[in-house]
Amino acid sequence: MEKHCKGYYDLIKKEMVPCKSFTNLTESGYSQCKECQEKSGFDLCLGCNGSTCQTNSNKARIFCHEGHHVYLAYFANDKLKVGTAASYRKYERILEQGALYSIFLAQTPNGRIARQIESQISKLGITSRVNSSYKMNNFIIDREQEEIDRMLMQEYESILRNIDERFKKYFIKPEYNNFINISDKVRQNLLEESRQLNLFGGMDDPTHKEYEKISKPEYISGEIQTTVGSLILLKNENKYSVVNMKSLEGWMVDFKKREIGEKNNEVFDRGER
Amino acid sequence: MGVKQFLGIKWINSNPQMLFYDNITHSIQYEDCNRNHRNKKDDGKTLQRVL
Ligand SMILES: [Zn+2]
Ligand SMILES: [Zn+2]
Repeated sequence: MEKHCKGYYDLIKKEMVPCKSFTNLTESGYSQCKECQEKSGFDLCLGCNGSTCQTNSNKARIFCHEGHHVYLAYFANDKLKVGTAASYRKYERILEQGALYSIFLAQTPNGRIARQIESQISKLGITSRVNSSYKMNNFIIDREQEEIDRMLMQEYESILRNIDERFKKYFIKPEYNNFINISDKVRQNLLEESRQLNLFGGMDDPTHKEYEKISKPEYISGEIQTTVGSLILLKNENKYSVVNMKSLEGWMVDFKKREIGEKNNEVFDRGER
Repeated sequence: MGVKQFLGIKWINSNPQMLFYDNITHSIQYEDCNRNHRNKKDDGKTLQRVL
């Protein structure tokens, strides 16, 4: 099978635009051609810290003049991440990141100030990047919601104490978001309640079930249990796998759908190369 | 469905969709990848505001 340019997402029109030349990228590590990268308008915004605007794209400039939010997200095993989102799509933004627990902590009139705040917060020691291999390896959130809320709140207060005075006016009463139904779905599938009493008369902590991590899928099949960002949790018979769907972007696939109850469910086949 | 180009998962109105591009008809097809949540009473996100 082949891989072609996946086109780009137009953040202003809010729609996917397919690649005009359908550039063949089978032998390339990229999933987007140069032209589409430029057309998306954001190629020069990657890594922007808000100090000087690098972009020459009108689209990026329009987007950057929209109101923004700065968020703090919780990932499994106590990893906190800071990030920015255009206010009109802030929930989509955290969902596409797979951030199931987060707070919005500042609201700014544009993207530049949001980036400046983000960069200050990352200098305080909070990462602004969590890669997909971390997300695959840390797929199950063990902590209770209250603990996570408390952790986010403590970090919020500490950030507020340490951030530059000039940014404080953009801070808001933290807005909590959680997508408990998604994390519950993960736990329902991947946690095994221990039935054994331990020495102290209590139950042991639930143990994690094994799951396969598929970072470069070629042929996958199973029933989709849930989706976290770009990762899907597949169940096939009694085996679980977490698949990074991002690495399939651009590939020609043969997708077969079967209704629940039939023998097999979703099948993805990227086929022979 | 036949061979199509996979464009990725997009979260649209808080629901994950798989996007497929048909290079012959030049159309994009959307496949829900959260079917299991659909049957539930509280579909989509649970937003909580505290303080
Ligand atoms: Zn292209
Ligand atoms: Zn910029």
